Amino acid sequence: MIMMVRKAGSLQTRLFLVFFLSLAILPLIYDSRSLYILCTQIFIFAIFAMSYDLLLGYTGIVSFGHGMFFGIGAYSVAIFMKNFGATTGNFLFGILVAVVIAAIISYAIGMLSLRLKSHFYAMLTLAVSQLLFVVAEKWRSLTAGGDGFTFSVPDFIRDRFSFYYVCLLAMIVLFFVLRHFVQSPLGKVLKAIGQNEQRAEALGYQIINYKVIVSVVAGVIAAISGGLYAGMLRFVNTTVFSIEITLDALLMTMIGGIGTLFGSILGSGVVEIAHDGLTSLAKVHPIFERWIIFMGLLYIVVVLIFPSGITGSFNNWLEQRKKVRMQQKEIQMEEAGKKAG
Amino acid sequence: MSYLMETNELSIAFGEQTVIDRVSLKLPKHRFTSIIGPNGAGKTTLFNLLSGQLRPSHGTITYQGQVITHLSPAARTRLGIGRSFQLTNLFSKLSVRENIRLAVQAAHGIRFQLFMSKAEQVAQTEEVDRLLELVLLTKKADVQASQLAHGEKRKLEIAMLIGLKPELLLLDEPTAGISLEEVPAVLQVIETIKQDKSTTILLIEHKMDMVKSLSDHMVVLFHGELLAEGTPQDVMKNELVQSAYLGGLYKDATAAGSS
Repeated sequence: MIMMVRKAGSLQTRLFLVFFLSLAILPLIYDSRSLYILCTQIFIFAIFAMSYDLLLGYTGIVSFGHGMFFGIGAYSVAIFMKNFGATTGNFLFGILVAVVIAAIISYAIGMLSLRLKSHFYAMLTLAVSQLLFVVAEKWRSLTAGGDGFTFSVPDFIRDRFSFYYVCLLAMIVLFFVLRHFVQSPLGKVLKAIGQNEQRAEALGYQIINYKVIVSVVAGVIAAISGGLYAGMLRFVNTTVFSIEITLDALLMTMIGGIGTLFGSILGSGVVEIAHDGLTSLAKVHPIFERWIIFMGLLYIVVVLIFPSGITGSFNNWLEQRKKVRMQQKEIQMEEAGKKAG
Repeated sequence: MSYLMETNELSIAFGEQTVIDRVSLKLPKHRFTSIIGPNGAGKTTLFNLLSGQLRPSHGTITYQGQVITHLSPAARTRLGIGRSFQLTNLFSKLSVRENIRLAVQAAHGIRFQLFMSKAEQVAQTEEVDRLLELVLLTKKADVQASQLAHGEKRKLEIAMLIGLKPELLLLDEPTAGISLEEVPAVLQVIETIKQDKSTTILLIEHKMDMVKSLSDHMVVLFHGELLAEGTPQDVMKNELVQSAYLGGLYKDATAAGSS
């Protein structure tokens, strides 16, 4: 039985590798700037959605302000690039600073609210993210307010082709790192907490510590994705702190399937491609400018019909098939037994 | 005789309602103690106080000479107090194996590790297999916990408790809601733990006849107060207990006693 599980695990890993490999080959076959940009954006939001999935899908923590860490990453990189020059060192240092700030803020929010019922965390993250939005709006000398500012970036980020690989690599590395994280002993406790907090506590696990850890990890990963996003746009304004960013993550994890990590990548693909396709239909009818309406409808359909998302439904289907096969086997064996008897 | 856990004048009130009223208990080490009492006597509330889900409004709890009245449930578990729940309480979307493994992992003190050695993995797997066998769930190892029958869920819960290797085992009506055919299997599992003689067991039950053969020591709880305690034979003979159990009201019993 254990052998079977291990085999299935390696099969899964192989499938992931094939998927990632085909993404790596894609730009060599298709030479299109707009495709590079779309894919880069998908990779960046996939990282962000995976970080949200740690909270929502694994530990069952709802955050309404997860976008703030994305914003912190974006602003940190942008400010370093603009004020200290467009070098690779500054880009990395900007991300490092964002990671530190995100860790401190997520730790503080976690310690303040995760002891309490879950909605306190949701509300506090919402409040802090709105606070940061206002700070970004008002601190004009640093952020240029709502107008935002442009900045120049090193060549490897400027070049769409090489930045495609940077983001793809970041996504792949973070995917495997997070997959290890959720499959580690610590990650298994997170899953247990998501299922039944009281029981996990009765087993001797101190819930608050785990929740703070996952909150910090999710914040840090989100900050990295925000930094990459700023690099891609070469521009930043206060929209990175808006609630829509958090909603995007929620939509992506729900559509892809919560608690699967890989679902976040698929969800990011679906949402970004739909966004791109629908806005390009704006010439046909102006309603397509409001692409978010269709996303809202899709969201309702997902919640009603596929509550476990794409990967979740796929896994359920696999399991169902396995069950039916096992039953058929049992029946066959029984019949064989009867014949023999 | 040494005592593993003692309570001193333990009380809890919800508003005006005093549910546990100055209960002083002593649990002898390595013995099987059961608390019996009719529905609503406050048995589960007393359990919640002992395991830390509730904080008493008055009184103290001492465990191995250490006052634990203000420790969290998780901290008490680490000291060696494991409890079961009257209503089945599992990780319902995880497999049976994974449920038990989480308990074993906790007992091994693996809490925040990101990596696990091969030796540790093997040790855990072996222990989980042993526990599965003990509670007769080997065939169901990879089934989701929510798909189990009720009696199987209770057995799984007991397996998780044993996996924690507690010194004090608190069992809250382990046979509640189980079909009659399944009761002997559960009792057998409890009997096995008892025979081990290394665990102190405290069990709640409201059907007195079920536990009288298992128990070394019996405590009767009635309307939140300690009514009687002693060996099963003594308790069964006690007039107060008989009138409380046989439908006579406690007030009548005390009135009769005082007149």
